[in-house]
Amino acid sequence: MSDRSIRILTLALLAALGLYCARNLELTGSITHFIPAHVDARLVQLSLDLVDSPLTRRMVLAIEGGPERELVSRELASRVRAHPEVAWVEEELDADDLVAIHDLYFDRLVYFASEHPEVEVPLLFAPSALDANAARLRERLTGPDAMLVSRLASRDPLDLFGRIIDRARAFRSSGQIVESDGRGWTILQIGLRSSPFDSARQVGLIELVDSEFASLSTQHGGGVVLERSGINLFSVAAEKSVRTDVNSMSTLSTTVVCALFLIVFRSLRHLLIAIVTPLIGFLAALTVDITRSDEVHGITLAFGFVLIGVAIDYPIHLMNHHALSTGGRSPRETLATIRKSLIVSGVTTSLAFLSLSMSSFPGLGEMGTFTAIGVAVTLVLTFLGLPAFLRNPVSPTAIQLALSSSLVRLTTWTGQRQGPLYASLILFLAIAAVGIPRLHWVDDPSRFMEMDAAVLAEASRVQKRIGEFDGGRFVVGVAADREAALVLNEQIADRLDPIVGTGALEGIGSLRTFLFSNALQQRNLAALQAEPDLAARIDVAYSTAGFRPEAFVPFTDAVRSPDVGPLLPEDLEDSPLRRVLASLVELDGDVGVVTLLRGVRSGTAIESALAGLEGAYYVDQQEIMTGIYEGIRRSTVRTLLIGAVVILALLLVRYRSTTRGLLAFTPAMLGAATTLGLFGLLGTPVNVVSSISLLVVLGMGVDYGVFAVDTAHDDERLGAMLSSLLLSCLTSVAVFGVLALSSQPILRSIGLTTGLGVLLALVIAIPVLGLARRA
Amino acid sequence: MKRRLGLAVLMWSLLISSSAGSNETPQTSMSLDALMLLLQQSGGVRADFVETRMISILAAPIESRGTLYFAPPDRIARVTTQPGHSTAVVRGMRADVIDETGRRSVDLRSSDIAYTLISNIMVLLRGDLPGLRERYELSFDADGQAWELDLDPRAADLRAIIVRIRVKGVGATVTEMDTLETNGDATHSKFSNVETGLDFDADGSSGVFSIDPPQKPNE
Repeated sequence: MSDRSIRILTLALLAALGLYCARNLELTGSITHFIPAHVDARLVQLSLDLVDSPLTRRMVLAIEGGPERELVSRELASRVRAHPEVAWVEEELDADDLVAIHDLYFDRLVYFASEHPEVEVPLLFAPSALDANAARLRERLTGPDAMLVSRLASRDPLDLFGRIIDRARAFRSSGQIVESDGRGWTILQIGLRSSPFDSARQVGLIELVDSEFASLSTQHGGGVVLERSGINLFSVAAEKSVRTDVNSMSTLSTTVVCALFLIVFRSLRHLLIAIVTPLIGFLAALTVDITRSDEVHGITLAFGFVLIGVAIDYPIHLMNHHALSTGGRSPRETLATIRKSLIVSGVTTSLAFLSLSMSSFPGLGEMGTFTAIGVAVTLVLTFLGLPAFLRNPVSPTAIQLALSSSLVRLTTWTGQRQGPLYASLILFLAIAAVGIPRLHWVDDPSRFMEMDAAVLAEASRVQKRIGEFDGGRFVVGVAADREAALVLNEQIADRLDPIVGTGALEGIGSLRTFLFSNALQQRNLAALQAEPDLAARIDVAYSTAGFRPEAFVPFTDAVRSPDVGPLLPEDLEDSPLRRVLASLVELDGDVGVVTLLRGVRSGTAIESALAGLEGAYYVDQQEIMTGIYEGIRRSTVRTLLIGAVVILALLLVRYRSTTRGLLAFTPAMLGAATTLGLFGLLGTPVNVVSSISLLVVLGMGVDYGVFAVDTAHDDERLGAMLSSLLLSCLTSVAVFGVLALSSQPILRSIGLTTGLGVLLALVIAIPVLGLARRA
Repeated sequence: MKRRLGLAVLMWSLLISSSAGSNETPQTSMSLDALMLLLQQSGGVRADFVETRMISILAAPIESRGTLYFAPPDRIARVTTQPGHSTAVVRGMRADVIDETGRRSVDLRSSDIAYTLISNIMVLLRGDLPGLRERYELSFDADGQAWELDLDPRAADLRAIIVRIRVKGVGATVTEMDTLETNGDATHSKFSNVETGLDFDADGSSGVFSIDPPQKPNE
């Protein structure tokens, strides 16, 4: 095949891949991508499930202002209700809710008298309690809702229905919060149809809320303020941040690489040629990723641009060697002289990145596979396509010649000084030995993604105002069936109630508010039926307060023989209260009931309260996740060591010499260890991502060792090799350095670890070369 | 039907005493058209009320006293001072009640029947005769300056709660109102010290239509 045909085919491939990616790319910024995919514990799975469940699929709006806030709130609720992403809008308890609660509970009051019927029912029927209730009922019959009270009283003389309504109001955070000066907040809750992490769907809803509120605020004089809380707000802000990072980092990295090329090669053509192969590698990896999954994570894409900076090393090696080659070699002949080094270099780099794909983090796995594919494709194209783009012969630039000769002189000078060579390596070893024990590992995954500070502050204010339940800490009761789970749920509430308000816990949100177990409902009925002379005692107390004798026969009849059976979960499913059933979850054939917690200050106190209660678990997502990530980090460090041994074995086989194999391996291993040592000495926190990034340092650092050892005794290629390595290193460091500027901690960790590690590997390669030349 | 009953009675009970009118005395026998015209011209109204409820579960009637306020077209406040303190306020599509047991609010748009009851009352107090005829069978009788207006609900939802409302007056002044419920309960309201032509917004007393505490100046 002619060079022209190869060039046309290469460019056609570039165009086709670019077109496919442009048409099919869909980005996501979900943090769930960075939660381990494989976890064994059922509760951990539940914890992960709750990250995206009906309990999190909501958004809270707090509208502050004078009385006009109510009009704004009602109108806003009406306008957002029609949005396709809105499943429901909850305002304060409205007429429909009251009617629904009435329909569900009024005929079942005898089942819902008390959460502790054996204790409280006798107290309700004590003479003094009956007298007080009778007086209160009489007073209510003069109030504005007397017509309603009078119609309900004959079946509910103790206002048991009022207690149910009060519990329902206390459970809901929607409604009015009024301050003493007449200003206050109206709280709205919006239920989401999709995951709050689906930022593409959420952004439209958030924009609608903001624009409609702005319009309503203007319409009502501008005296109202909107504050919002919801996971979707963080998700959208995170995606925006990631998009900004992608744009800025790709621009910056491309600029730096372009500048290096123009300085060294003084040719725009060389720059374009050098970019073609890694760009095709990038697009090929992106194409694979798009076809494998619906969405590509923004961080993968950002990391993918780094691939261009890494994989451009191969064209750099070829072009630099070709320019500095003697004897008028053709590009393919030049390629043949560095073929073995390039292959070893490409294979080790690919292996290093591929190891990322074995990570338990889906996001990191995606990044690893993406880069491994990109590097491999670039390496193949460097062999098959790149020579067709190079002229024959070509002259080196003055910078190339100067770099080459200077570096040869430098290495010759250092090579003649054995003491400093060993001393420098000992210094690096000392840094590693002293620094590594001082490393500060951070395993809390919530610190991997940067939360928007303004969104966080706004959400905190809203959550504090409404007494929002803690999204990351809860208690779950797991039992074989729904009834057993509801019984356990009541036991959990009984255990937690005493510690509420003691400083350990501010409050709980229990399904018990709306749904008693069948057993508890039957206990209520039994307790009422056990009251002796119920009808007569009611008559005595209420007659004294002016009520007609036998006015409450309907109530005593219902106690003797209820009209309907106990309330079942299925009854709630068909009612406007069905959302409370989100707390009832299926768990691998068992049933779990989640008790929400508010203001947890002592997990230990909660665990102590639940001690001995079989099937009841206190779940702290942050604690669990931190434990999981710590485990993965430890596992990754072990993998790093195993990977190092594999690479060392590969090098020993390749060189068939212990000395040369060890020397080729030194820049990588010592570079990685010194990087960690420096982090320990400087107090830079490291995490699971840093440890995974060290695999990248290992893969790239071994390139320097391989090229150094391969050309140690080849004076003709030494200058070309050294200048190629310097150019490659500068390209890589510049690109990874850009990652260190990212607003996302996870990318910053990768950038710092990899950038510093690669630079150290090159620096360590200089004494290694000196020792290799003496060997 | 049961679904709507509770709310309907709640809404109606907020407003059952809320009819009062002008104390102007016409010079000729009152006609329904003339009465409606006078009510239209009454503007804001303030009246003391004494309400007596005959409730089937009570051995004897029960009495309450207070003050009623109406600001056309859609604001009503009922402030009870005896035997207990409570305030019920309707502003447009919202009803708020505050008493010793706490505060309760209802968005009237969420209940068709509550909306119908409230709008009916508004229609009466505004003197909107076509609107009143749309909702009730009307029976008007006058004897000199004294008159009596019977309102029989047309809608089935309302008929399930209210049998009849009878409003009595002298000239343009509403003096009494009786409500008979389907369960046999009845309410009789008497009005006194009726003031009309009030402009609550202009005289700075519109706060009676809010259960929120008054706002501080400069805020």
